[in-house]
Amino acid sequence: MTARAPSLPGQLSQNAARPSRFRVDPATVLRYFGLLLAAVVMLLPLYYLIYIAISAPGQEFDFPPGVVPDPVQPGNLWRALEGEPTTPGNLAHYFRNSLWYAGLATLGCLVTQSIVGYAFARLRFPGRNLLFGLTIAMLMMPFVVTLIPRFLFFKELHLTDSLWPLIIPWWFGGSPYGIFLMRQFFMSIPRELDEAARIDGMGHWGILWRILIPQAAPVLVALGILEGTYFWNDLLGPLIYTQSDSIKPLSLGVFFHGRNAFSINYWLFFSIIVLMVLPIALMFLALQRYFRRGFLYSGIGGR
Amino acid sequence: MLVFYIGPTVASLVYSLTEYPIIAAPTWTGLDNYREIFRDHQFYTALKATSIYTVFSVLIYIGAALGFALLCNRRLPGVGVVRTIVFLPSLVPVFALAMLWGWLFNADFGLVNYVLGEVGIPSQQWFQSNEQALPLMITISLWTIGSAFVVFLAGLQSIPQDLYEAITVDGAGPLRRFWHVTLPMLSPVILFNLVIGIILSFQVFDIAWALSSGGQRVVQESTLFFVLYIWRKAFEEFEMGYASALAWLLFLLIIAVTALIFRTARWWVHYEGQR
Repeated sequence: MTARAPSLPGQLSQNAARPSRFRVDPATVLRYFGLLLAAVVMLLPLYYLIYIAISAPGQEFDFPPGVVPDPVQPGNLWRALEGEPTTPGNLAHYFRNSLWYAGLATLGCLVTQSIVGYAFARLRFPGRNLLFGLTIAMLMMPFVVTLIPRFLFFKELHLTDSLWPLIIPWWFGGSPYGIFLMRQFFMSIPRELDEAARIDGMGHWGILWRILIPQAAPVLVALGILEGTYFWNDLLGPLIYTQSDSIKPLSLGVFFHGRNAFSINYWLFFSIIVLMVLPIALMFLALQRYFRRGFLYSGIGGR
Repeated sequence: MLVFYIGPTVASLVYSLTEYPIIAAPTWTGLDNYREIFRDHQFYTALKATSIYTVFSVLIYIGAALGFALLCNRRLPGVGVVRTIVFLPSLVPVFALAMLWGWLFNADFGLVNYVLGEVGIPSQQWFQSNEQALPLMITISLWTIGSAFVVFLAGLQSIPQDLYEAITVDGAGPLRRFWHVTLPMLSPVILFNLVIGIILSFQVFDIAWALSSGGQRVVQESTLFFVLYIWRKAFEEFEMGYASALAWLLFLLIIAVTALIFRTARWWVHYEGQR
């Protein structure tokens, strides 16, 4: 390569829009360098997460830690799943609880957010604007405000120490954020579509489920990933509502599983975390395409 | 909605005016809780910790997410992979990241102290030190910018390309293009992320909880975040009335800050639709 003086990226990137082939453009090189840096920085914690997860037990305290674990023990993940002698039972019931919690709560959110979003976008009823204003106000409200009354409410119903208090609220309208997003999306679909359906004799339910929901698939996927991940990783909710070990979800179970009497069992802890992140990451990778389209179409982009 | 948002919100306001040790019925005490809070030095500790955390973590949330989004907003081979990588850590639970950093920055056997030792810098206490714990927790928030990043990317992609072509014809360099096209066109999205970021940061909980109760360490004064304090009052000391009052103060604080942001928005947010 000829040693061209590395000029400011600004001077060259004007041409960068149409780079001719086979020429190394410094602006592109700089951009790749930036991308590489970003990737390395963001991967760093994930790398060490996996590093500890597959190190030999006890090695996490070795000084200095290596670059690659020696020996590599992917079997740790399996051991974590089955349970250690020092910990209570295996992980199966935590996984089951997390699946119930995240699954039912996400489903509740998606279903009821669609209905409420439809009502806000398409129906005319008295007090609609007031209710929508309240929904937006709820966006700003910290969850701790409702936390205590909700807890007392479910305590009256004798539903504490179960997962129901974590699931039921989401079947009553989901989250304000989701309602807002669904309304924005439904607003962007031309009304002619549902008018045509109405002429064909469809009611509100038919229009919502057969006409609008199929169109909203990318938004629903984006919301489903965001909300599903939130429930899957939720710590505070289970911390408040679940006392017995048999109903704890994975997020909370990790602490009791990964900790023996005196200290944290790091390899075990991080093995469980890897097992916990894996399904979410795989789901994200599989649905990635919809996920980004969901954000593009949802209207929070340009407006 | 009514049952699980507005109802509890009102109920919480009522509880905040009572003395309510969970085993007995609430007794009306008027504004006593609020008076007590303003004399409670832990309240000011929590307020300070949360405010500092919010200012800096929101700067990271907006700055880093926007920077990464600008970097990734170009059709180049490999960019898709980097986009995924930037989002990936946001799928990891925050408390797990906190535990991981707790290990890396462990005062006795952490990697960071080892590397520092190699270049002759003495070992630091990190999370066990009152001064260093908060900056570290702020730094950790860099790995949770995924959703802001995705929203910025979507925003960048909806900027019409002809605006760039027009200003380039006028002879503008990349800096001027960024300043005169990207920033104004993106300002509504920045406002959105700013507000969401502030609301989320004020409610930070997982990081501090995982590094105190989950680990074996005590919480440092400097990282006694607001929600953590509320949680302790409500579910460790069972003072539901006092905790409700704290929660309402946090709510009012968030409303005030958000209102302030919206007030300034007319000076810097540009809506393409209304001219």
